[in-house]
Amino acid sequence: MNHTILSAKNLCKSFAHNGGQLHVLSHVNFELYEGEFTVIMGASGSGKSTLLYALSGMDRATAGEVFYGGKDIVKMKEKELAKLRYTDFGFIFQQMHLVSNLTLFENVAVSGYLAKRKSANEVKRRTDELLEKMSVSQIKTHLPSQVSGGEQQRCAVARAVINEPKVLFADEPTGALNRKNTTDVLDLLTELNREGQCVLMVTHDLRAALRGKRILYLEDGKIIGELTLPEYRSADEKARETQVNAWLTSLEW
Amino acid sequence: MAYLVGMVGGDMEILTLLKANIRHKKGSFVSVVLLTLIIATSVTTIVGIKDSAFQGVYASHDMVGTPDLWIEYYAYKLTDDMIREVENNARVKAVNVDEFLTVGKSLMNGNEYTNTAMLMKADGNTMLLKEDLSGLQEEVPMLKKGEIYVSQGLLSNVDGEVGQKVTLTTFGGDFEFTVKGVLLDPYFGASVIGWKRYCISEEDYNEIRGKIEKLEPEETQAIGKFMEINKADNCSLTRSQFRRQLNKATGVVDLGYGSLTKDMSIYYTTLFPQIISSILLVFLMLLLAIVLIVTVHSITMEIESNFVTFGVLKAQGFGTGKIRALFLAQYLLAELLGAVLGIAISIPLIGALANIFVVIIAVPAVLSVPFAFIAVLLGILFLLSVVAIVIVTVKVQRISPVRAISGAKKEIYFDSRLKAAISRRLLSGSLAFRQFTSAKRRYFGTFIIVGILVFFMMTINVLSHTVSSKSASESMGMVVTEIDVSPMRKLTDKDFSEIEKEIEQSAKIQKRYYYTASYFSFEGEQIMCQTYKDPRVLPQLKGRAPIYDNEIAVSPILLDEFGLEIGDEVIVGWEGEKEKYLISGTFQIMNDVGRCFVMSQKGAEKLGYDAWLWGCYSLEDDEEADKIVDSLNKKFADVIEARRNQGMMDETYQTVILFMQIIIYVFSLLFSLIVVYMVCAKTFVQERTDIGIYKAIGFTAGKLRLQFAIRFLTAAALGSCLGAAFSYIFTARILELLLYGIGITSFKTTFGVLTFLLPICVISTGFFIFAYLSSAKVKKVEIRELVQCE
Repeated sequence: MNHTILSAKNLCKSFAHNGGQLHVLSHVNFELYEGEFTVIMGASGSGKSTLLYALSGMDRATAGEVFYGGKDIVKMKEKELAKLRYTDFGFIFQQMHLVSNLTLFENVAVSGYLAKRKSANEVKRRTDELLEKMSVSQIKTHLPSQVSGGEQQRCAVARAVINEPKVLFADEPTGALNRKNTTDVLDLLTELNREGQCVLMVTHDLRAALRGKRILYLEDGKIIGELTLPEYRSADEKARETQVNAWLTSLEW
Repeated sequence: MAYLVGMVGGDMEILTLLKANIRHKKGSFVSVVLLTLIIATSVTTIVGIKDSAFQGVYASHDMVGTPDLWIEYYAYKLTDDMIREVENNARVKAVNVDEFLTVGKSLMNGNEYTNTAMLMKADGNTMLLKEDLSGLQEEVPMLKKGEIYVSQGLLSNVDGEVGQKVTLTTFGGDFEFTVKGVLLDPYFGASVIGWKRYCISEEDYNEIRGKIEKLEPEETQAIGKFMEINKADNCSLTRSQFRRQLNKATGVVDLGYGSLTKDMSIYYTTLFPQIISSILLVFLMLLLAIVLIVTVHSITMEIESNFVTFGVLKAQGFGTGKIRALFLAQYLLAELLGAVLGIAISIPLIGALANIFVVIIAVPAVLSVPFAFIAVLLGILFLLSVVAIVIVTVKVQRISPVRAISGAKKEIYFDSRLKAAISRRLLSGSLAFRQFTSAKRRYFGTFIIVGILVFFMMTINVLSHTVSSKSASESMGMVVTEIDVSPMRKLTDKDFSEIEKEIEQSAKIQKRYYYTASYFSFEGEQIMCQTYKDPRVLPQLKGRAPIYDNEIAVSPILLDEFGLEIGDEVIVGWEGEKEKYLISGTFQIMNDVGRCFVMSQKGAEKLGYDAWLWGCYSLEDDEEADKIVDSLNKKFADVIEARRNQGMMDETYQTVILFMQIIIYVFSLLFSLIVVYMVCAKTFVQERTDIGIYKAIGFTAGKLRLQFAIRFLTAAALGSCLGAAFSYIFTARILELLLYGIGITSFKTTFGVLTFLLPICVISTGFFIFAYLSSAKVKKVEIRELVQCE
């Protein structure tokens, strides 16, 4: 029995455009289950990033509700949302977005300090563990501008999980990476999911989408398809790719 | 400038970009306009007010027809032969002689004025100021019995006004008059000039004169005469040289007991407007430097923020020259606009404030707008701006289209950093410090600007502290006393001893001075001489005190003026007697704006000067001073008159300094506000992504704004240290330069806790609050912008 951790009802998002309204999300209904690796796919401009930002409270929906922990985050105040970001949600951006004047270590630790759940020493220890796990501990004193995109993204993943979030949101986390780094980051996310981390990832990359247990397909701001898959195993990747490809083809991807 | 010429010649692409830049960067453009506007308004207004005051003084001298040289005598000493001898001198054009009655003391509104005044008959030449002192009255009513006209200088000194009673103490007794108007007296009317002239009706004059003649029939000092001398048209000597040469030829100056040239009268009269405007102008020049720093800083930031844009422009064929011309046009246009608006605002301001100095100079101002000065100043500003912009935009040359578009800007943003740790407990503070150290250049301008502001704030504090603090004033050689005892006869050591015994029954005497002052001839000029029982009470600047009867000590200003050195011999005269004296040292004194010398009582007696020494006492605790004065006046009623000395400096000047302090603090805060706004705006543009990231990981807008504010607080605190260090090193020198005119050649800076703390706290708090307010834009940063970023 899946346990819903986050749900959206009739979620809409519009932007002012050329004097009128551009409807990016249109009455989206969605449920995210605990411990699940969910992927949202769609063509460019389909509204998948907008959906992710609306679900994570990074942006406010124009209409509809997003329930998390019994509360509608659409109606939350700025302070409540800020708290949610360092307690329950973690976020990975396509462009990494590390603070440019903090070292990799500090980028991760600052999030830990902000949550105030652990002592400074515990935060430091946990940061070291995560950076070790992400294979960037050797360069932890470097500034973001001094390391590669893949290293930055692995650091961004560490930052996103330092406070052990209930949900990890990832917006095209491999979009700016090369093949090798893409695999590394996806392996990290898969491993985190195996350890129980709920992941909601937006991507238009088929290889990345294969990591999900559930794939949703978004078109013109609406979820038009859903595919459930068994747990990811690298050995099954070929068969899994064929299955997902066939499904996407059926959706005119 | 060639770029600008090219632009005017029709480079539409630059004009298009210029318009777009101004539209897009309104905040930056408006800030430069505002800063220039403030400078232009202030400088034009201050110089305009000063010039109006000066023009008023010159115009009044012309209207009254004042003489080149004025000498006063005891009437019995000025003979017809002397007058004829002067009239026959080839350098003299005209001589006028008139009589006056000596007034020893004027009591008005409960305040005493103890400088000598000349009581004269009002005549057809008498001119009066309007009630609001804004100009001259068209008609001068004939004075009736019991009525008097006085100069504004007296009213300022005694805090009096027209309509009040004034009691004059003459050798014929005390007489009470009602003040009916303010006399136009450009020669003596200023509040800083000791001598004063009053006009009464002929009836009153004759009555008082009659009483004096009865009481003192012969060789009385109660009736004086003055000789007004105009030099010949072909005489090319300065008025001081004329006085010296006339004295050499006729000895008429030595025989008088006071003389004043028109130049010196104008100098004394305009001294305070000159000093006040000089201090404010120095401050404004520093603000001008700030405008240049802000301009340079703003351009540097703009080049960094628009690195990619400039790369794109270059890729499109824009040359470095055109991009630099764009900066020149943008900033010079802002400065020009600010300057024009500033001058336009200042013209009515000058009109409204031109007469602000009338209580000091005692003549109405004549409106004057200093267009030539402003043109020169703005020319300098533009020239400096052009040089600064040309230098700072050299960086544009280094932008290559490929490097810019490929995102080389990160290298520029964070060039170096300190390894200060991020603390969990002080998260906002330590992050703010990291942001500060990561972009030190961004705050360097702020640091220097704060340094300049705090330096000047401290300088004005030191000045204020000196005029209001007894110990600070004494350290500079000022004689600061609480009780002054003037003798009614020559006092003996026994008299002084009894007086002091009486004082010490209530309060301990800290310092005692026995001295008197008169005008002596010094190398042929009338110069104030202070005669001390023991001149060692005065702190010497160089050499030693004149303890022997053939020695004098002089002020450095006098030394400079006469081209003398310690060890030189000079001729000093008193009522015709002359002796040689050796200069034994220099000392600092503010009497007669530093034109003063000192000798011992024995030295003065050599010239036949019978010094009736005053006793002046500085008390350890002045609480009982009023009571002591009362008891002295009761116990020694026929021997002395004791007076309470209220303050180190006249209240008017303390008010003026307070006024300057307020101006400097307000301007400093105003500049801080604009500087913070500008730097914040640029920083905000550069850090927009970081702000979004911080928000994404859970920082609230409040916390991020706090970080902004802490960064500026850090810059302000560090800049304050720089300002404090500058102040410690340079304040004395600056004040000596500014206050040389009032006789201060050696300024001893005394830094109290408040001297340091007040400016630092005001500026740091100002920067913190302004930065917090300016960073309100943080609230508008949406995290979703990160999706579109880069």
